[in-house]
Amino acid sequence: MKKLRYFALGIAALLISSCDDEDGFYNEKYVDAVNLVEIAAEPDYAVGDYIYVTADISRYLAEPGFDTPLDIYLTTNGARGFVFSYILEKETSAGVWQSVNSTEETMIINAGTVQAGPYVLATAAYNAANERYQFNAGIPLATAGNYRLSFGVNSDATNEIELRSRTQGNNLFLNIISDTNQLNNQGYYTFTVN
Amino acid sequence: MKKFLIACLLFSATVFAQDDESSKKGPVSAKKNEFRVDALSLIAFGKANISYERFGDGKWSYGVTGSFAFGDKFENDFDEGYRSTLPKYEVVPYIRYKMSNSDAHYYFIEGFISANGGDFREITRTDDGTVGFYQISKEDYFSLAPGASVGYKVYFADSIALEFLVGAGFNILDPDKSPDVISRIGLNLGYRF
Repeated sequence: MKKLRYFALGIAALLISSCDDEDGFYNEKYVDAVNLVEIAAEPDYAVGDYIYVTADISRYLAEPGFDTPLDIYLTTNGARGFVFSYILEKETSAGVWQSVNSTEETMIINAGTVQAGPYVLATAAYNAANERYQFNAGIPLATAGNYRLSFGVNSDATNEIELRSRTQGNNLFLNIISDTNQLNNQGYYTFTVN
Repeated sequence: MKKFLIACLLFSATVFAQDDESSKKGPVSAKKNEFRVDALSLIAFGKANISYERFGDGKWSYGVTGSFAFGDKFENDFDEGYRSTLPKYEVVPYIRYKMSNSDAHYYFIEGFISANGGDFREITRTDDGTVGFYQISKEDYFSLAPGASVGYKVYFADSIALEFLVGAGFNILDPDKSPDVISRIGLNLGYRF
């Protein structure tokens, strides 16, 4: 019986060890870029204003380390959009923040599409006329108080925004890590609505 | 899959309970040839795995295993980017040493060399002079993997073989494209004649 146990142990160990350690997502490509997404920062905000987020991304993206720009449309075999997320929170009491619920109806959407709720899933949609991926939408600021906006739900990143291509089929998924200098060192853009 | 393996192992436990002395000598040793089919690879991995083994008079035997993939699972995983290699074929010459005196059931060890090949994929940047773009490039790979296995074999009715086999080898050619490890795991059903 002891031999049997050793044999079973051997099988289990080998089944585990034989897993290809290269397993992963081989359709994913990551590239870096700067300031692809911007918050339309205003000096003052009043109740009834909107906080706008904009993405205006050329199909041809400068890529660090290469002389030629990267064609992100061709790379993704014609991805219809790039997705990123952000969340707006309001300070309900000192140090306590609560997400501001939005809907597609209450938001102003000038370009791209959103799925809104406690956070916004934004898609910068491809515009064939100017060969750019574009997003522009505003969330209403309904009440006075302190607000903060951050990118990436549950993301620890403080100075970068991740955009992911809406790739179809088995084509490449392109993930663009875009640095931003609009966030503080905790990863928030903070502002006050009067 | 787990249940299947456990069931096989439990089944083997009943075989272990047989009287060892009664099966040391018998007509099995008079039969020198054996063909086997790996049921585990067939069911779990979509691979046809056929082996031939030639027995000598002593404890040594030798043979060859041929394997090729026919199922969609690996190919779909490969296309969807869950793996970088798609093993397509494998030829494995091996030599075995029987670890006990019994011919009816015994442990064995083996050394083998796996000649294996398939497809490899990677993401490459192509530059046409004006713009660059990334794409998935596919290439063939071929490699050799020396390795070792241990196994247990039992015969029923002096001819029907049931064999468990576990082992691994490491590819030494084309290391950038071929899988690092080649596993040799089997639940073989065979006929000895």
